[in-house]
Amino acid sequence: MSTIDIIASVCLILGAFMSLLAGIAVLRFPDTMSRIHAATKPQVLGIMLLMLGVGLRLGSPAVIGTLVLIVILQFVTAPVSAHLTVRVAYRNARDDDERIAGALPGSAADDGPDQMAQALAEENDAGGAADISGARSDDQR
Amino acid sequence: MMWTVVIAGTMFGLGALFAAVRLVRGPTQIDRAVALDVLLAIVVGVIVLTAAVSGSSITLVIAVVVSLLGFIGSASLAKLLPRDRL
Repeated sequence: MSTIDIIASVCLILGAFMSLLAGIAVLRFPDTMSRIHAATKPQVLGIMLLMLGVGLRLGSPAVIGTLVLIVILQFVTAPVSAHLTVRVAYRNARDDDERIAGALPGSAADDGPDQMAQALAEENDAGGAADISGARSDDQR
Repeated sequence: MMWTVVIAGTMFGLGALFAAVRLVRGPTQIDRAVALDVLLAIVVGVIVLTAAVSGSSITLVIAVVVSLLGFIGSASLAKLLPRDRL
């Protein structure tokens, strides 16, 4: 077993260890945001270490071209997909907060028509209805 | 190389198991999408490990396809999932 094989083995084991860490984190972390934060690690660093190991072990130029293609693909696409997922999670959390605070329909509408009319009148008096409708139309975009 | 396969395969298997538990349990749909993303990254890792062990580069093409598929799946899930009404 030559030195290059040992280095390749260490790289492969480290890449697999990143996958194990991501699995533990996705299982154990309490929050959707922190789960997404931990899940992005093996997609970039783990894949890079694994590709380094395979490139050291195989070592022909065609293989290294394919490996560089995979690494570039992951580098470009992993932040984009994580950003899209986090945006949906953040908007869901924000909507839940607003609904708890009573700013969105769905909390007041369940109480019956009288309370709903009263709540709408209070919102009109406070002048907050325009802000809420603006936020919702911006949200639907 | 034998011990490398055993250690790395065990780590991949445990990570996939934990991600699958989160995939079944996850309270929101977004947690499930994240767990699927982790599972696909682990699948790419296993394919690459297979290529490193067997010494043939045929399976690396599958790794390219799976990593592209992971991006398309995650992005379309983020676009098409309905809002959660907890």
